Amino acid sequence: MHNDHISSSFNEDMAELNQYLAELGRLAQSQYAASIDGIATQNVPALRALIDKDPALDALEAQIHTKAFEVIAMRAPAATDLRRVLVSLKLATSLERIGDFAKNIAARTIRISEMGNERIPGVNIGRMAELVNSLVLDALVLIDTPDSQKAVKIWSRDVEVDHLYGTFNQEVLASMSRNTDMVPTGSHLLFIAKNIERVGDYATAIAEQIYFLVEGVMLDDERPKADREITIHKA
Amino acid sequence: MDQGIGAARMMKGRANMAKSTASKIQAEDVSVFYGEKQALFNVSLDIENYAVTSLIGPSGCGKSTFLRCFNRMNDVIPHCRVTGSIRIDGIDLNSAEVDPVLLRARVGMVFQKANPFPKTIYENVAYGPRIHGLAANKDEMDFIVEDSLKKAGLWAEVKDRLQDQGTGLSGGQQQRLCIARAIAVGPDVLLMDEPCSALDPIATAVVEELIDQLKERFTILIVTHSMQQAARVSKRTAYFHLGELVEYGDTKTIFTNPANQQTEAYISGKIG
Repeated sequence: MHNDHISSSFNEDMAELNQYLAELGRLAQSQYAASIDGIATQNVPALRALIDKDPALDALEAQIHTKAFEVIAMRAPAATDLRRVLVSLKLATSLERIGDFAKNIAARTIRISEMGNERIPGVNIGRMAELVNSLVLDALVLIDTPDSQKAVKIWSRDVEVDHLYGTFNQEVLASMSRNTDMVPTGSHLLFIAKNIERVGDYATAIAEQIYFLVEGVMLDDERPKADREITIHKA
Repeated sequence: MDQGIGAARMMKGRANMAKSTASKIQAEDVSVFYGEKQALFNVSLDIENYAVTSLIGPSGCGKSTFLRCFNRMNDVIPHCRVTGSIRIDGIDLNSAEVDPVLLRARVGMVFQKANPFPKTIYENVAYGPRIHGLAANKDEMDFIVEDSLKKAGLWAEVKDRLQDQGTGLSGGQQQRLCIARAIAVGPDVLLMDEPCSALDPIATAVVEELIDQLKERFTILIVTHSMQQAARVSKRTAYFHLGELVEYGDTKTIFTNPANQQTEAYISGKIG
């Protein structure tokens, strides 16, 4: 497969687009990793620093959009080039949203820290958070080195996140039912868990886009889901 | 095999028979030789009726050579030999009973550079119908000229100066005059060999819009070096490389997800 265009400036445009994407990916993952660290450490200054970094992700997303529009207008990309540009737009949105969820996790963790540890339900969110982190890291590898088979693997692992999310929800709800003092912090934890689950969804969306980039068709099978029938556990 | 509208017109002494088929033209195992050198290798493809088909590929790939097979223009090139078969509405163009002159009335051609005759606008269009005896009197000829110029999208611009020289028109108008000239003899296939390569973007857009309208009446084959023109105007695209047909399919597929890596490299402007 020939990767270099005859036009060197076309190569430069695509390289610039890839560079922005790599930078946004690295930043989104580090924001997410910092947010889940923050749940454990409740290091408020670090969480505030994380929130302050979010505009940088927004700016990178805007740069990717601008560059993609320029490439479409100026280069009239075709085939894989066209898919790469279109996928870049979607990847940028997915990565920026991961950053948004990290910011929301940080903001809610700050609220929880202000309520006191004795009011936090004794539940473990770490396993789900780490699983999602590994999905995000794998998705970033895909952006750098597109591979449709690896994309399918990531895509199918989201069901594990859904299972953990369902279990976590039930545990928090049970804890809140047993002790109403846990309701304020428990509510924030439910939202944090939802944010983490959504980060997993976006890692999956990245895998879907990479599959489309490589194969030229969308994954047509419905992804296995386990979060459609989450029931409220009555203690 | 059934014979379509006008099929008999290119044959000596045959009456018209009417039929329309989805596949207007069938090229089968077509090879072209210039002396000892083979320029085209065993090309087979079907051309859809009432649609635009683009032939693309780098210079020297054989696309224009292939285009010229459809009206036997290769006959006039010394030492050129064509093998295989090309059928239009079931009639083999290379059969002994096909008259090349009548064939070229039925399969019109528009060239890269507009080449109007050094005659008036009216005479440029009337010339073909006159030598083919298509008009019994001046009224009929006037009708053919007006109708052809209208179909070529030129009537409104020239109706008040039909006696002006055709060579005095702008480049884009000259090219549309040549299209009117081709249409005037009643073809049902139009061959276009880089028809916009000498035109500015506005004139190109006008001709492309015209091609889009003409496909309602004609089967059109166009050779173009402009990837975007092929993408804009054609329903199907054939990619040639070094005399071989590499890939042939729906234009949307060719430009979004081609099956062949050579096609991908060419349409993406990559080093091939």
